[in-house]
Amino acid sequence: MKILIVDDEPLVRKSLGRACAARGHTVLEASDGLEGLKTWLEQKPEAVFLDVLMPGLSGPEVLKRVSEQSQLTPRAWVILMSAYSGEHNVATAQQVGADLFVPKPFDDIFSVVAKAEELQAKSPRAK
Amino acid sequence: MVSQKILWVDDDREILEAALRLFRSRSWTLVAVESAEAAKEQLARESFAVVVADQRLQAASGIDILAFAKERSPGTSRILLTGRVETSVIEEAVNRGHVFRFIAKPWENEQLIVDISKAIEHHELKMAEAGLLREVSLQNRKLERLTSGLETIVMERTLNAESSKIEVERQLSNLRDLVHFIKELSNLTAVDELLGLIKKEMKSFHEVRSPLLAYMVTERRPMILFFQGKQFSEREARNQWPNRSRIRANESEDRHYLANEFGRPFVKVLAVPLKRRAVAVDNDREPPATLFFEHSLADDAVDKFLSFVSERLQPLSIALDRILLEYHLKYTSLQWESTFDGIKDPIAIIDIDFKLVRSNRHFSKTTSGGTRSFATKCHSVFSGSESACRGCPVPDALAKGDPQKGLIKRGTRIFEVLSYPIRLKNDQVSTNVINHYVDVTSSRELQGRMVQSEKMAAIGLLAGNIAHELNNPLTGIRSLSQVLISELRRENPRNAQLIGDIEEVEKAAGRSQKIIENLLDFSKGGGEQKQVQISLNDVVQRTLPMLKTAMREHRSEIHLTEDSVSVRVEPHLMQQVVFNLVNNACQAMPNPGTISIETDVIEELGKRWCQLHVKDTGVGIPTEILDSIFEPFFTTKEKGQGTGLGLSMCRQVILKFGGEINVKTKISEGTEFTVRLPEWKDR
Repeated sequence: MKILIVDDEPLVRKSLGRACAARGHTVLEASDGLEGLKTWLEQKPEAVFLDVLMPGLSGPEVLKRVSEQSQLTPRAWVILMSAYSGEHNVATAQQVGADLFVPKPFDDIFSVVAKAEELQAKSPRAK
Repeated sequence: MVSQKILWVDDDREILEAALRLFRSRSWTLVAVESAEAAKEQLARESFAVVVADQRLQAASGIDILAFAKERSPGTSRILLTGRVETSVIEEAVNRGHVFRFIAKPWENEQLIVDISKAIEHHELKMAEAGLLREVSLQNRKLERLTSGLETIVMERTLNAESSKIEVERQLSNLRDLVHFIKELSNLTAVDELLGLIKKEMKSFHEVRSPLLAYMVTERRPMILFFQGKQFSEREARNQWPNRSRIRANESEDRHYLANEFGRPFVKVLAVPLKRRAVAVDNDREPPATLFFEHSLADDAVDKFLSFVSERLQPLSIALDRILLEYHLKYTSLQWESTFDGIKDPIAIIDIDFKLVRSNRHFSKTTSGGTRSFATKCHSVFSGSESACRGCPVPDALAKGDPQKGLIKRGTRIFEVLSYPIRLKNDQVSTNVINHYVDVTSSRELQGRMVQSEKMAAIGLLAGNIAHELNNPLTGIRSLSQVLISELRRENPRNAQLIGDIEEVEKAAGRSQKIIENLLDFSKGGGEQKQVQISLNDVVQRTLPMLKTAMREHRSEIHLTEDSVSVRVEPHLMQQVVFNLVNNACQAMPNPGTISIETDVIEELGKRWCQLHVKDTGVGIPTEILDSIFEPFFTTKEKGQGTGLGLSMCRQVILKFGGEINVKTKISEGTEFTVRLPEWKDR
């Protein structure tokens, strides 16, 4: 599975990327919203880990642009992540177009990766 | 002497002329007539001293004329003139004419003069006699009249004298009664006494029953005062009595009024209004106080009674006026007094030497009673202090002559004092002030809390930002540690040392996350949070990481019970309580000591309580300030070191959750705070 990780915190990108790689997935990384948007549209990943608060474009804004600028159907699975646990929950994440919400900090990085795998297993998003 | 008149009757002209010639030189008046008719005519017209008649007239006898004259005027001397004297003539003349003399013809002139003179003398004698008699009888009658009149007068006078004496006495006694009545009136102090006196005064009128008095007391309350047997009874009047200023007898208006008021018929009623004199009633809508008398007086007795009442009307009105005025004054002064005493804020008038002139009940520290003794210093009454209170604005207010403000403390309470100088005249320097004390402790506490909660909100915001900034790298650190551990276990499982080290990193990162989470919870100031069910142990454990610095120097013993200590609280507030208590405990120990934190569950009166004990081995709390430690702004710390709100906030929070907070302390040994909260069970 091709997974895009958009987060401005390098350690998060690195840890999440390595956990995904360890599970045999292809990992793409972006360090801010704009870069994330570009990579998303170019590489067409099957799942995206998207941070909410980032310099440039925020996670939800990236989502909005993707919906506006591409006719990707079915679109990639989107897992929204935030350290402001009070700001978002699964319901609000779904309102902005994400499929799941994962609060930071993670208790266990591998369970986060497993969530993406579950979504893909249920309904595979291919190119 | 009056000239005597003589009538001479003769039909012989010569004789008449001879007589006229003869009498001319005399003082006598001679009326000579020739006929009997003329003679009678003369006699009828006037009275004569002497009548001389010729016996033989042409148509009549002289004796007839003399008899006529005798009848006409008995006092007239009668003389018969005769030529020849016959016995029968003499007899007839004497019997019929009562002749005084006979004069024979022709007469001797001298003899005639003598005879006439004698006849005149006789006439005069007779006349005098008759006059005297008349006089005597007149005098007699007068005397009689006088006598009888005198008796009547004497009788009348006697009667008059007696009755006037009685009258005077009666009037005197009336006056005496009246004076006595007025004196008694002047001693009265109450309306019922007045009515009692009226009843006593009227007791001689048996047909008049006990009086009723309808009057207005202050605030226009209509009252009716009456006798119930011998007792007074007073109540508010149901209706207003007739507003009339004149005295009425048996008018239906009054009867109806009383019948309505007392629910029974009144047959005969006298109504006597007592007009207010001293106080000008501002309008006529208010009926004058009115005395009502129920009575069975007969109509004529009514006037007597009313005049009796009228005599007393003025003093009565004045007395009632005075009593009501006194009532009003008392009422007004009482009203002011209770107004001032009713004000929760202390208020006092204070002079230039801090002497208390007047104060309300709440001014005294003890509030038990308004100490109003003069020459007492205000500060000793207000706060029990020997010297002027710190921050007192009185000297300033007196010096500047303008209202001044100051803050002073009474025990643990803070008062804002407003000092208003009293100026009697514009140019005068004031020597007294009115002090108004407002307890601002609560409002300052509120203000303090507001500042505190604003601070907390700011901290919360800051903490939120920091938490976000820290959470991201921490997430990375922890996650990467987890990845590394997983990779190492797979690829290099024998390097247990490395795996263990990375596990330490992972755990530290986890703890850091927890601390941040707690910090976020703790600083959720501002808005009301929801009360949730939570274990008291959890609250303690979440708070402890933030207390590490404070507790660093001391040994800590933490014994959290295994029992369920489930309570229902707002977690962040409860955390603040734990934080404050532990922080205080640490600060109570200037040297390293032991702080012990315990939880347990007790049962008291069938109710289960979860308890938290925070105990130190510090300096202890002096008894004199023990009562104040939960008061807001009470602090033993240096200025700027503490807000004095910590413990007051703890108590407030615990009370809010239905619990209580208690303290046990011993100087130099330590202090133990115990918080108990009702156990919360899922229901």
